[in-house]
Amino acid sequence: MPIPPSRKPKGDSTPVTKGGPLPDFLRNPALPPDLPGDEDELSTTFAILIRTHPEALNFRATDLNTLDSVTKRYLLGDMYKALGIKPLKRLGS
Amino acid sequence: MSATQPVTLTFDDFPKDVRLGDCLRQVEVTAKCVPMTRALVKTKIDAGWWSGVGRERKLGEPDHDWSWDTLFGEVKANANRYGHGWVVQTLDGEVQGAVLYSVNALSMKENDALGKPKPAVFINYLASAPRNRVHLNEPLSGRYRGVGKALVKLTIAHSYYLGFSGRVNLMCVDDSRTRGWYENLGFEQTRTWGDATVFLELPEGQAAHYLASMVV
Repeated sequence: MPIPPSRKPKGDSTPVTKGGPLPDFLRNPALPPDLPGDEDELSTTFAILIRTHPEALNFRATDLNTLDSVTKRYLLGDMYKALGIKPLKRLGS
Repeated sequence: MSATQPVTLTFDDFPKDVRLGDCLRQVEVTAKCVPMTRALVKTKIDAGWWSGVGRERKLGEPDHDWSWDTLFGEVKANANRYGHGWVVQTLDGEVQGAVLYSVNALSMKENDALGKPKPAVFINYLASAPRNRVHLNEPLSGRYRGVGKALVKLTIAHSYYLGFSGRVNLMCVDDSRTRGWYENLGFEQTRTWGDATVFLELPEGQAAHYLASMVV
């Protein structure tokens, strides 16, 4: 799709961040790296939501190991809905 | 819980197509945000990003000595499963930008009802490919526009899906061009560290603007 002359891009002015590891004072102590559960993304999201919004689902993080991925996905969907999180449709530009 | 409908509410399922401005052909093109892998980092970033950039110009960039392979390993080692890496990849397979972030961070601006900091996503490293930076390619323009913003929006979306309301923070060099870019996106300064590090955070209210554009 052609771009109108008024919006012609000239390049990305994105600078770089300074970069670096997460400083200790910004590290969330509620999310220890030894949290039980699988190493996949679904478990991570699930575990974080349980810890950040325990009111959304009466479920203990230690029970994560007992769940299969399909069940986790359904429970995760329930938790998203309980939190009022709607699906995003696009990333855009 | 519905037993028949698949759940499509996860960050994994979120479409990660992105529109970039192609400054060479003066058209908009579609690219994809894809998970960072060591193979992509080695072959498409560390081995090729700086080719064609003069030595002096390269040394003037704060990321000229970054080894993304090392940084990727560092973030994955330190943040474990809470560390994430994504790249913007165009249809020709080239990587146009990369971001590494951790989802186990705290907000520097917003506290919960108990006075404790709310959770946030922390951007460890973010850069667009040197070929896209205007100041490195003068008098020509950079190749693609919109890479960095797309990666920031991706972190906002991930923050949203984790229940963090889009809160994202980072630290950047105390440089007017760098800070100006983030402030244009809505980031606000929260504190300084040492003599050259500035902490910036995108508050919930600003993140809501980006999230609204992603819902449509």
